[in-house]
Amino acid sequence: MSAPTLPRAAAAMLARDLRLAWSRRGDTLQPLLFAVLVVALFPLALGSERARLAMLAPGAIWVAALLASLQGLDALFRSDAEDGSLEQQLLAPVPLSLLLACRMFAHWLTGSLPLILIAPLLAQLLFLPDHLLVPLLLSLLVGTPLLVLLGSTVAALTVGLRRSGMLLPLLALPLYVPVLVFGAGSVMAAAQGQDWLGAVLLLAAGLTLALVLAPLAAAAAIRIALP
Amino acid sequence: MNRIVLWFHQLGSPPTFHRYATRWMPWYFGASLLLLAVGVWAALFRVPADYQQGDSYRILFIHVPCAWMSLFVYVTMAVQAAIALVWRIKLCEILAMACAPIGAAFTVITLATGSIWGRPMWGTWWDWDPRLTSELVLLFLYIGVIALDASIEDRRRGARVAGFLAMIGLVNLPIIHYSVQWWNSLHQGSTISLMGKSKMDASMILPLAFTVAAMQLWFVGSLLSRARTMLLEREAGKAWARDIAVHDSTRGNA
Amino acid sequence: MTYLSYIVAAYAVFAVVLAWDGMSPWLKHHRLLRAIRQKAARAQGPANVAGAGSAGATE
Repeated sequence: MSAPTLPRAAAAMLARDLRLAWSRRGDTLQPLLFAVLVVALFPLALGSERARLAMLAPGAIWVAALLASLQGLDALFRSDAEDGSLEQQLLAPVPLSLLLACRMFAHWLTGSLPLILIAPLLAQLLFLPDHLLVPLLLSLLVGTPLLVLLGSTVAALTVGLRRSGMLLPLLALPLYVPVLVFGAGSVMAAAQGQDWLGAVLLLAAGLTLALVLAPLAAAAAIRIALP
Repeated sequence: MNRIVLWFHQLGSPPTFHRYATRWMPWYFGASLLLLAVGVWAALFRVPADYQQGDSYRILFIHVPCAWMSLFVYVTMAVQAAIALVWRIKLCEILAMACAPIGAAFTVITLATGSIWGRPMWGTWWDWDPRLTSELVLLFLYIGVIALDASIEDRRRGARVAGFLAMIGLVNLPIIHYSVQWWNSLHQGSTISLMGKSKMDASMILPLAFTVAAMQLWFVGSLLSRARTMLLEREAGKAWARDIAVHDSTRGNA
Repeated sequence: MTYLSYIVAAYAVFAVVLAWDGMSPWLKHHRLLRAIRQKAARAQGPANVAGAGSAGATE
Protein backbone atom coordinates (compact mmCIF):
# COMPACT_ATOMS: atom_id res chain seq x y z
CA MET A 1 0.00 0.00 0.00
CA SER A 2 1.65 3.20 -1.13
CA ALA A 3 1.86 6.33 1.03
CA PRO A 4 -1.14 8.65 0.71
CA THR A 5 -0.74 11.94 -1.10
CA LEU A 6 -0.31 14.99 1.04
CA PRO A 7 -3.68 16.59 0.29
CA ARG A 8 -5.53 13.36 0.99
CA ALA A 9 -3.67 12.85 4.26
CA ALA A 10 -4.42 16.43 5.26
CA ALA A 11 -8.08 16.10 4.39
CA ALA A 12 -8.33 12.84 6.29
CA MET A 13 -6.73 14.36 9.39
CA LEU A 14 -8.97 17.40 9.21
CA ALA A 15 -12.08 15.29 8.78
CA ARG A 16 -11.08 13.11 11.72
CA ASP A 17 -10.52 16.05 14.03
CA LEU A 18 -13.75 17.72 13.02
CA ARG A 19 -15.69 14.53 13.53
CA LEU A 20 -14.07 14.06 16.94
CA ALA A 21 -14.94 17.62 17.88
CA TRP A 22 -18.53 17.09 16.78
CA SER A 23 -18.86 13.88 18.76
CA ARG A 24 -17.73 15.77 21.83
CA ARG A 25 -19.47 18.98 20.99
CA GLY A 26 -20.18 19.74 24.61
CA ASP A 27 -16.50 19.83 25.36
CA THR A 28 -15.74 21.68 22.18
CA LEU A 29 -18.18 24.45 23.02
CA GLN A 30 -16.90 24.99 26.54
CA PRO A 31 -14.25 27.57 25.65
CA LEU A 32 -16.92 29.53 23.79
CA LEU A 33 -19.20 29.53 26.81
CA PHE A 34 -16.24 30.53 28.93
CA ALA A 35 -15.62 33.54 26.71
CA VAL A 36 -19.23 34.64 27.01
CA LEU A 37 -19.04 34.27 30.78
CA VAL A 38 -15.89 36.35 30.94
CA VAL A 39 -17.50 39.10 28.90
CA ALA A 40 -20.52 39.02 31.21
CA LEU A 41 -18.25 39.40 34.21
CA PHE A 42 -17.01 42.83 33.19
CA PRO A 43 -20.27 44.73 33.60
CA LEU A 44 -20.95 42.82 36.80
CA ALA A 45 -17.61 43.92 38.18
CA LEU A 46 -17.47 47.42 36.80
CA GLY A 47 -21.06 48.56 36.68
CA SER A 48 -23.36 48.96 33.71
CA GLU A 49 -22.48 52.56 32.89
CA ARG A 50 -22.56 52.69 29.13
CA ALA A 51 -19.58 54.92 28.45
CA ARG A 52 -17.20 53.04 30.69
CA LEU A 53 -18.14 49.66 29.27
CA ALA A 54 -17.83 50.98 25.74
CA MET A 55 -14.30 52.10 26.49
CA LEU A 56 -13.34 48.70 27.86
CA ALA A 57 -15.21 46.62 25.34
CA PRO A 58 -12.43 45.91 22.82
CA GLY A 59 -9.95 44.90 25.50
CA ALA A 60 -12.51 42.83 27.37
CA ILE A 61 -13.58 40.89 24.28
CA TRP A 62 -9.97 40.30 23.32
CA VAL A 63 -9.11 39.06 26.80
CA ALA A 64 -12.11 36.76 26.67
CA ALA A 65 -10.97 35.39 23.30
CA LEU A 66 -7.47 34.87 24.64
CA LEU A 67 -8.61 33.08 27.79
CA ALA A 68 -10.96 30.90 25.77
CA SER A 69 -8.06 30.01 23.51
CA LEU A 70 -6.01 28.96 26.51
CA GLN A 71 -8.87 26.79 27.71
CA GLY A 72 -8.91 24.53 24.74
CA LEU A 73 -5.14 24.06 24.55
CA ASP A 74 -4.75 21.43 27.18
CA ALA A 75 -7.09 19.04 25.44
CA LEU A 76 -5.48 19.58 22.07
CA PHE A 77 -3.03 16.73 22.19
CA ARG A 78 -4.07 14.99 25.35
CA SER A 79 -6.45 12.36 24.03
CA ASP A 80 -4.15 11.44 21.18
CA ALA A 81 -1.19 11.22 23.47
CA GLU A 82 -3.09 9.01 25.88
CA ASP A 83 -4.38 6.45 23.43
CA GLY A 84 -1.23 6.23 21.38
CA SER A 85 -2.47 7.84 18.19
CA LEU A 86 0.17 10.49 18.54
CA GLU A 87 2.94 7.95 18.23
CA GLN A 88 1.21 6.55 15.17
CA GLN A 89 1.17 9.99 13.65
CA LEU A 90 4.86 10.33 14.42
CA LEU A 91 5.56 7.20 12.45
CA ALA A 92 3.26 8.03 9.57
CA PRO A 93 4.75 8.41 6.08
CA VAL A 94 3.26 11.89 5.99
CA PRO A 95 5.17 14.78 7.61
CA LEU A 96 4.08 15.26 11.20
CA SER A 97 4.05 19.02 10.72
CA LEU A 98 1.32 18.66 8.08
CA LEU A 99 -0.85 16.59 10.40
CA LEU A 100 -0.32 19.07 13.20
CA ALA A 101 -1.19 21.97 10.89
CA CYS A 102 -4.48 20.26 10.13
CA ARG A 103 -5.14 19.74 13.82
CA MET A 104 -4.43 23.39 14.53
CA PHE A 105 -6.77 24.42 11.72
CA ALA A 106 -9.52 22.16 13.06
CA HIS A 107 -8.96 23.61 16.51
CA TRP A 108 -9.37 27.12 15.18
CA LEU A 109 -12.48 26.15 13.22
CA THR A 110 -14.18 24.65 16.24
CA GLY A 111 -12.90 26.97 18.94
CA SER A 112 -12.21 30.43 17.60
CA LEU A 113 -14.42 30.76 14.55
CA PRO A 114 -17.64 30.45 16.59
CA LEU A 115 -16.28 33.15 18.87
CA ILE A 116 -15.74 35.49 15.94
CA LEU A 117 -19.27 34.72 14.76
CA ILE A 118 -20.80 35.73 18.08
CA ALA A 119 -18.42 38.65 18.56
CA PRO A 120 -21.06 41.13 17.37
CA LEU A 121 -23.33 39.85 20.12
CA LEU A 122 -20.56 40.27 22.70
CA ALA A 123 -19.94 43.75 21.32
CA GLN A 124 -23.57 44.60 21.94
CA LEU A 125 -23.34 43.34 25.53
CA LEU A 126 -20.55 45.80 26.19
CA PHE A 127 -21.94 48.69 24.16
CA LEU A 128 -19.10 48.68 21.67
CA PRO A 129 -19.52 51.61 19.25
CA ASP A 130 -20.66 50.44 15.83
CA HIS A 131 -17.74 51.83 13.91
CA LEU A 132 -15.35 49.69 15.96
CA LEU A 133 -17.02 46.43 15.03
CA VAL A 134 -15.11 46.01 11.78
CA PRO A 135 -11.68 46.59 13.40
CA LEU A 136 -12.66 44.19 16.16
CA LEU A 137 -13.75 41.43 13.82
CA LEU A 138 -10.77 41.88 11.55
CA SER A 139 -8.30 41.84 14.42
CA LEU A 140 -9.94 38.71 15.84
CA LEU A 141 -9.94 37.07 12.44
CA VAL A 142 -6.21 37.58 12.07
CA GLY A 143 -5.29 37.26 15.71
CA THR A 144 -7.11 34.12 16.82
CA PRO A 145 -5.35 31.84 14.30
CA LEU A 146 -2.10 33.26 15.58
CA LEU A 147 -3.13 32.44 19.14
CA VAL A 148 -3.98 28.90 18.09
CA LEU A 149 -0.67 28.43 16.27
CA LEU A 150 1.44 29.77 19.12
CA GLY A 151 -0.55 27.99 21.78
CA SER A 152 -0.43 24.67 19.99
CA THR A 153 3.35 24.85 19.75
CA VAL A 154 3.58 25.32 23.48
CA ALA A 155 0.99 22.60 24.09
CA ALA A 156 3.09 20.25 21.98
CA LEU A 157 5.95 20.78 24.44
CA THR A 158 3.84 19.67 27.38
CA VAL A 159 2.56 16.57 25.67
CA GLY A 160 4.41 14.20 27.94
CA LEU A 161 3.03 15.64 31.16
CA ARG A 162 0.12 14.16 33.01
CA ARG A 163 -1.89 17.05 34.33
CA SER A 164 -0.22 20.31 33.43
CA GLY A 165 -2.74 22.43 35.31
CA MET A 166 -1.77 26.05 35.21
CA LEU A 167 1.55 25.33 33.55
CA LEU A 168 0.28 25.58 29.99
CA PRO A 169 -1.28 29.06 30.40
CA LEU A 170 1.89 30.24 32.14
CA LEU A 171 4.00 29.07 29.22
CA ALA A 172 1.70 30.43 26.54
CA LEU A 173 1.02 33.85 28.00
CA PRO A 174 4.35 35.53 27.20
CA LEU A 175 3.92 34.43 23.60
CA TYR A 176 0.35 35.74 23.60
CA VAL A 177 1.29 39.21 24.83
CA PRO A 178 2.29 40.69 21.44
CA VAL A 179 -0.84 39.28 19.81
CA LEU A 180 -3.02 40.79 22.51
CA VAL A 181 -1.20 44.11 22.33
CA PHE A 182 -1.57 44.45 18.58
CA GLY A 183 -5.02 42.88 18.41
CA ALA A 184 -6.75 44.84 21.13
CA GLY A 185 -4.50 47.80 20.43
CA SER A 186 -5.68 48.07 16.85
CA VAL A 187 -9.26 48.48 18.02
CA MET A 188 -8.18 50.98 20.67
CA ALA A 189 -6.29 52.91 17.99
CA ALA A 190 -9.43 52.94 15.87
CA ALA A 191 -11.35 54.23 18.88
CA GLN A 192 -8.89 57.10 19.17
CA GLY A 193 -9.21 57.86 15.51
CA GLN A 194 -5.69 56.75 14.68
CA ASP A 195 -4.48 54.36 12.04
CA TRP A 196 -5.52 50.87 13.10
CA LEU A 197 -4.86 48.88 9.95
CA GLY A 198 -1.12 48.90 10.52
CA ALA A 199 -1.39 46.83 13.66
CA VAL A 200 -3.66 44.34 11.92
CA LEU A 201 -1.19 44.06 9.07
CA LEU A 202 1.56 43.38 11.58
CA LEU A 203 -0.57 40.60 12.99
CA ALA A 204 -1.13 39.31 9.47
CA ALA A 205 2.60 39.26 8.86
CA GLY A 206 3.10 37.34 12.08
CA LEU A 207 0.35 34.96 11.06
CA THR A 208 2.02 34.25 7.73
CA LEU A 209 5.26 33.41 9.46
CA ALA A 210 3.54 31.33 12.10
CA LEU A 211 1.57 29.38 9.49
CA VAL A 212 4.86 28.04 8.19
CA LEU A 213 6.94 27.85 11.34
CA ALA A 214 4.51 26.79 14.05
CA PRO A 215 3.65 23.33 12.66
CA LEU A 216 7.35 22.65 12.14
CA ALA A 217 8.19 23.82 15.64
CA ALA A 218 5.31 21.84 17.11
CA ALA A 219 6.45 18.70 15.31
CA ALA A 220 9.97 19.18 16.67
CA ALA A 221 8.53 19.84 20.11
CA ILE A 222 6.52 16.62 20.09
CA ARG A 223 9.58 14.65 19.10
CA ILE A 224 11.52 16.19 21.97
CA ALA A 225 8.73 15.86 24.49
CA LEU A 226 7.65 12.28 23.88
CA PRO A 227 9.70 9.71 25.76
CA MET B 1 43.37 24.66 18.21
CA ASN B 2 43.60 20.99 19.03
CA ARG B 3 44.25 21.75 22.69
CA ILE B 4 41.12 23.85 22.91
CA VAL B 5 39.00 21.12 21.33
CA LEU B 6 40.56 18.57 23.63
CA TRP B 7 39.83 20.78 26.62
CA PHE B 8 36.16 21.02 25.58
CA HIS B 9 35.92 17.27 25.21
CA GLN B 10 37.46 16.67 28.59
CA LEU B 11 35.13 19.19 30.15
CA GLY B 12 32.22 17.07 28.98
CA SER B 13 33.23 14.36 31.39
CA PRO B 14 31.28 14.88 34.61
CA PRO B 15 34.05 14.43 37.17
CA THR B 16 36.33 16.70 35.16
CA PHE B 17 33.73 19.43 34.94
CA HIS B 18 32.92 19.11 38.62
CA ARG B 19 36.58 19.46 39.52
CA TYR B 20 37.00 22.39 37.15
CA ALA B 21 33.94 24.19 38.44
CA THR B 22 34.85 23.69 42.09
CA ARG B 23 38.34 24.99 41.45
CA TRP B 24 37.40 28.11 39.50
CA MET B 25 34.15 29.08 41.19
CA PRO B 26 35.69 30.98 44.13
CA TRP B 27 37.91 32.99 41.80
CA TYR B 28 35.01 34.20 39.72
CA PHE B 29 32.97 35.10 42.79
CA GLY B 30 35.96 36.76 44.39
CA ALA B 31 36.78 38.86 41.35
CA SER B 32 33.12 39.78 40.99
CA LEU B 33 32.83 40.94 44.59
CA LEU B 34 36.02 42.95 44.27
CA LEU B 35 34.86 44.80 41.18
CA LEU B 36 31.43 45.19 42.73
CA ALA B 37 32.87 46.75 45.84
CA VAL B 38 34.80 49.31 43.81
CA GLY B 39 31.85 50.04 41.55
CA VAL B 40 29.33 50.44 44.35
CA TRP B 41 31.66 52.60 46.39
CA ALA B 42 32.20 54.86 43.41
CA ALA B 43 28.48 54.89 42.65
CA LEU B 44 27.52 55.86 46.16
CA PHE B 45 30.31 58.18 47.21
CA ARG B 46 32.31 59.44 44.27
CA VAL B 47 29.87 60.23 41.50
CA PRO B 48 28.16 63.64 41.83
CA ALA B 49 24.40 63.82 42.27
CA ASP B 50 22.43 64.00 39.06
CA TYR B 51 21.28 67.37 37.79
CA GLN B 52 17.66 66.29 37.39
CA GLN B 53 17.12 63.27 39.58
CA GLY B 54 19.20 64.05 42.61
CA ASP B 55 20.66 61.07 44.40
CA SER B 56 18.08 58.48 43.42
CA TYR B 57 19.74 57.85 40.11
CA ARG B 58 22.54 56.05 41.95
CA ILE B 59 20.24 53.07 41.70
CA LEU B 60 21.14 53.08 38.01
CA PHE B 61 24.49 51.51 38.78
CA ILE B 62 22.85 48.29 39.90
CA HIS B 63 19.65 48.52 37.87
CA VAL B 64 21.29 48.77 34.45
CA PRO B 65 23.84 45.94 34.82
CA CYS B 66 21.13 43.62 36.08
CA ALA B 67 18.81 44.60 33.23
CA TRP B 68 21.51 43.87 30.67
CA MET B 69 22.39 40.61 32.39
CA SER B 70 18.77 39.49 32.45
CA LEU B 71 18.74 39.70 28.66
CA PHE B 72 22.27 38.37 28.19
CA VAL B 73 21.61 35.33 30.35
CA TYR B 74 18.43 34.54 28.42
CA VAL B 75 20.30 34.60 25.13
CA THR B 76 23.04 32.43 26.64
CA MET B 77 20.41 30.02 27.90
CA ALA B 78 18.77 29.74 24.49
CA VAL B 79 22.12 29.25 22.74
CA GLN B 80 23.11 26.53 25.20
CA ALA B 81 19.74 24.88 24.66
CA ALA B 82 20.20 24.99 20.90
CA ILE B 83 23.63 23.37 21.18
CA ALA B 84 22.21 20.76 23.52
CA LEU B 85 19.36 19.93 21.17
CA VAL B 86 21.35 19.89 17.95
CA TRP B 87 24.49 18.14 19.14
CA ARG B 88 22.98 16.32 22.11
CA ILE B 89 25.66 17.47 24.53
CA LYS B 90 24.66 16.60 28.06
CA LEU B 91 26.71 19.35 29.66
CA CYS B 92 25.00 22.03 27.60
CA GLU B 93 21.62 20.78 28.79
CA ILE B 94 22.76 21.34 32.35
CA LEU B 95 24.32 24.71 31.58
CA ALA B 96 21.14 25.89 29.89
CA MET B 97 18.95 24.94 32.85
CA ALA B 98 21.45 26.44 35.28
CA CYS B 99 21.14 29.78 33.49
CA ALA B 100 17.43 30.03 34.17
CA PRO B 101 17.38 30.80 37.92
CA ILE B 102 20.31 33.18 37.57
CA GLY B 103 18.55 35.08 34.82
CA ALA B 104 15.36 35.13 36.85
CA ALA B 105 17.28 36.57 39.79
CA PHE B 106 18.70 39.36 37.62
CA THR B 107 15.22 40.04 36.28
CA VAL B 108 13.77 40.26 39.78
CA ILE B 109 16.49 42.72 40.80
CA THR B 110 15.81 44.77 37.67
CA LEU B 111 12.10 44.91 38.39
CA ALA B 112 12.51 45.67 42.09
CA THR B 113 15.18 48.35 41.65
CA GLY B 114 13.27 49.80 38.71
CA SER B 115 10.14 50.03 40.80
CA ILE B 116 12.01 51.54 43.78
CA TRP B 117 13.73 54.02 41.50
CA GLY B 118 10.44 54.91 39.89
CA ARG B 119 8.63 55.58 43.15
CA PRO B 120 10.12 59.04 43.78
CA MET B 121 9.84 59.84 40.09
CA TRP B 122 6.39 58.54 39.18
CA GLY B 123 4.75 58.75 42.57
CA THR B 124 3.65 55.12 42.35
CA TRP B 125 5.48 51.83 42.68
CA TRP B 126 4.57 50.79 39.15
CA ASP B 127 3.85 52.81 36.07
CA TRP B 128 3.77 50.30 33.21
CA ASP B 129 6.95 51.81 31.90
CA PRO B 130 7.56 49.99 28.58
CA ARG B 131 10.99 48.71 29.53
CA LEU B 132 9.86 47.39 32.89
CA THR B 133 6.77 45.84 31.32
CA SER B 134 8.97 43.97 28.85
CA GLU B 135 11.11 42.92 31.78
CA LEU B 136 8.02 41.57 33.53
CA VAL B 137 7.18 39.41 30.52
CA LEU B 138 10.81 38.24 30.51
CA LEU B 139 10.38 37.13 34.12
CA PHE B 140 7.41 35.04 33.08
CA LEU B 141 9.48 33.50 30.31
CA TYR B 142 12.12 32.51 32.85
CA ILE B 143 9.55 31.14 35.29
CA GLY B 144 8.01 29.16 32.45
CA VAL B 145 11.33 27.52 31.58
CA ILE B 146 12.03 26.70 35.22
CA ALA B 147 8.52 25.34 35.80
CA LEU B 148 8.52 23.23 32.66
CA ASP B 149 11.90 21.72 33.48
CA ALA B 150 10.74 20.98 37.01
CA SER B 151 7.57 19.25 35.88
CA ILE B 152 9.29 16.54 33.85
CA GLU B 153 10.73 13.66 35.78
CA ASP B 154 13.36 12.57 33.30
CA ARG B 155 16.01 15.23 33.89
CA ARG B 156 17.53 15.02 30.43
CA ARG B 157 14.18 15.23 28.65
CA GLY B 158 13.11 18.04 30.95
CA ALA B 159 16.19 20.06 30.05
CA ARG B 160 15.64 19.48 26.34
CA VAL B 161 11.94 20.39 26.45
CA ALA B 162 12.49 23.48 28.58
CA GLY B 163 15.44 24.38 26.38
CA PHE B 164 13.22 24.28 23.32
CA LEU B 165 10.79 26.56 25.10
CA ALA B 166 13.65 28.94 25.83
CA MET B 167 14.53 28.99 22.13
CA ILE B 168 10.94 29.81 21.19
CA GLY B 169 10.99 32.55 23.80
CA LEU B 170 14.18 33.99 22.33
CA VAL B 171 12.55 34.46 18.94
CA ASN B 172 9.67 36.11 20.72
CA LEU B 173 11.74 38.51 22.82
CA PRO B 174 12.27 41.26 20.24
CA ILE B 175 8.62 40.95 19.20
CA ILE B 176 7.50 41.39 22.79
CA HIS B 177 9.81 44.35 23.24
CA TYR B 178 8.60 46.06 20.09
CA SER B 179 4.95 45.37 20.84
CA VAL B 180 5.23 46.85 24.34
CA GLN B 181 6.89 49.96 22.92
CA TRP B 182 4.04 50.37 20.45
CA TRP B 183 1.49 49.69 23.18
CA ASN B 184 3.03 52.34 25.37
CA SER B 185 3.05 54.99 22.66
CA LEU B 186 -0.58 54.17 21.89
CA HIS B 187 -1.88 54.52 25.40
CA GLN B 188 0.30 57.03 27.12
CA GLY B 189 1.84 59.25 24.52
CA SER B 190 5.44 59.91 25.45
CA THR B 191 6.48 59.21 29.00
CA ILE B 192 9.62 60.15 30.78
CA SER B 193 11.83 57.14 30.42
CA LEU B 194 13.20 55.67 33.59
CA MET B 195 16.70 56.80 32.89
CA GLY B 196 15.67 60.37 32.37
CA LYS B 197 17.00 62.81 29.89
CA SER B 198 20.31 63.55 31.58
CA LYS B 199 23.22 62.44 29.52
CA MET B 200 25.71 60.07 31.00
CA ASP B 201 28.52 62.15 32.41
CA ALA B 202 31.97 60.69 31.80
CA SER B 203 32.45 60.18 35.51
CA MET B 204 29.37 57.96 35.58
CA ILE B 205 30.60 55.51 32.97
CA LEU B 206 33.49 54.09 34.97
CA PRO B 207 31.51 52.86 37.99
CA LEU B 208 28.94 51.43 35.60
CA ALA B 209 31.67 49.56 33.76
CA PHE B 210 32.85 48.11 37.06
CA THR B 211 29.41 46.93 38.11
CA VAL B 212 28.67 45.50 34.66
CA ALA B 213 31.92 43.56 34.69
CA ALA B 214 31.18 42.43 38.23
CA MET B 215 27.80 41.04 37.18
CA GLN B 216 29.30 39.22 34.22
CA LEU B 217 31.83 37.53 36.49
CA TRP B 218 29.12 36.76 39.02
CA PHE B 219 27.10 35.08 36.29
CA VAL B 220 29.98 32.80 35.34
CA GLY B 221 30.68 31.94 38.96
CA SER B 222 27.05 31.23 39.71
CA LEU B 223 26.69 29.23 36.51
CA LEU B 224 29.62 27.01 37.48
CA SER B 225 28.21 26.59 40.97
CA ARG B 226 24.73 25.64 39.84
CA ALA B 227 25.96 23.45 37.01
CA ARG B 228 28.25 21.42 39.24
CA THR B 229 25.43 20.96 41.75
CA MET B 230 23.01 19.82 39.06
CA LEU B 231 25.66 17.49 37.66
CA LEU B 232 26.28 15.96 41.06
CA GLU B 233 22.57 15.52 41.57
CA ARG B 234 22.14 13.64 38.31
CA GLU B 235 25.18 11.45 38.83
CA ALA B 236 24.70 10.84 42.53
CA GLY B 237 24.78 7.09 42.09
CA LYS B 238 28.08 7.00 40.24
CA ALA B 239 31.40 6.07 41.76
CA TRP B 240 33.07 9.40 41.17
CA ALA B 241 30.32 11.14 43.12
CA ARG B 242 30.82 8.78 46.05
CA ASP B 243 34.55 9.38 45.90
CA ILE B 244 34.08 13.10 46.13
CA ALA B 245 31.55 12.80 48.93
CA VAL B 246 33.70 10.56 51.09
CA HIS B 247 36.86 12.51 50.31
CA ASP B 248 35.02 15.64 51.30
CA SER B 249 34.23 14.21 54.74
CA THR B 250 37.74 13.05 55.48
CA ARG B 251 38.91 16.56 54.77
CA GLY B 252 36.72 17.71 57.64
CA ASN B 253 34.06 19.38 55.56
CA ALA B 254 31.17 17.28 56.87
CA MET C 1 13.33 65.02 49.54
CA THR C 2 15.59 62.37 50.91
CA TYR C 3 16.37 59.56 48.57
CA LEU C 4 18.33 57.66 51.17
CA SER C 5 15.61 55.14 52.00
CA TYR C 6 15.09 54.36 48.33
CA ILE C 7 18.78 53.90 47.65
CA VAL C 8 19.14 51.70 50.70
CA ALA C 9 16.11 49.65 49.70
CA ALA C 10 17.33 49.16 46.14
CA TYR C 11 20.84 48.13 47.13
CA ALA C 12 19.44 45.90 49.85
CA VAL C 13 17.23 44.02 47.37
CA PHE C 14 20.26 43.69 45.12
CA ALA C 15 22.39 42.25 47.91
CA VAL C 16 19.73 39.87 49.19
CA VAL C 17 18.88 38.40 45.78
CA LEU C 18 22.54 37.96 44.85
CA ALA C 19 23.23 36.37 48.21
CA TRP C 20 20.40 33.91 47.61
CA ASP C 21 21.74 33.19 44.13
CA GLY C 22 25.20 32.53 45.50
CA MET C 23 24.25 30.55 48.58
CA SER C 24 21.41 28.35 47.41
CA PRO C 25 23.39 26.13 45.00
CA TRP C 26 26.29 25.91 47.45
CA LEU C 27 24.02 24.77 50.27
CA LYS C 28 22.34 22.28 47.97
CA HIS C 29 25.72 20.92 46.93
CA HIS C 30 26.67 20.57 50.56
CA ARG C 31 23.50 18.66 51.38
CA LEU C 32 23.94 16.45 48.33
CA LEU C 33 27.43 15.45 49.38
CA ARG C 34 26.14 14.53 52.81
CA ALA C 35 23.30 12.48 51.32
CA ILE C 36 25.65 10.60 49.00
CA ARG C 37 28.01 9.92 51.86
CA GLN C 38 25.23 8.55 54.05
CA LYS C 39 23.89 6.41 51.24
CA ALA C 40 27.34 4.97 50.59
CA ALA C 41 27.75 4.22 54.28
CA ARG C 42 24.39 2.43 54.40
CA ALA C 43 25.26 0.39 51.34
CA GLN C 44 28.53 -0.78 52.78
CA GLY C 45 26.92 -1.98 55.98
CA PRO C 46 27.09 -0.64 59.54
CA ALA C 47 30.52 -2.10 60.27
CA ASN C 48 32.21 -0.24 57.50
CA VAL C 49 31.21 3.37 57.92
CA ALA C 50 33.16 6.43 56.75
CA GLY C 51 36.25 4.79 55.40
CA ALA C 52 38.54 6.61 53.04
CA GLY C 53 37.16 6.81 49.53
CA SER C 54 37.54 3.64 47.52
CA ALA C 55 36.72 3.22 43.91
CA GLY C 56 34.28 0.53 42.95
CA ALA C 57 32.58 0.16 46.31
CA THR C 58 30.23 -2.77 46.41
CA GLU C 59 26.60 -1.87 46.09
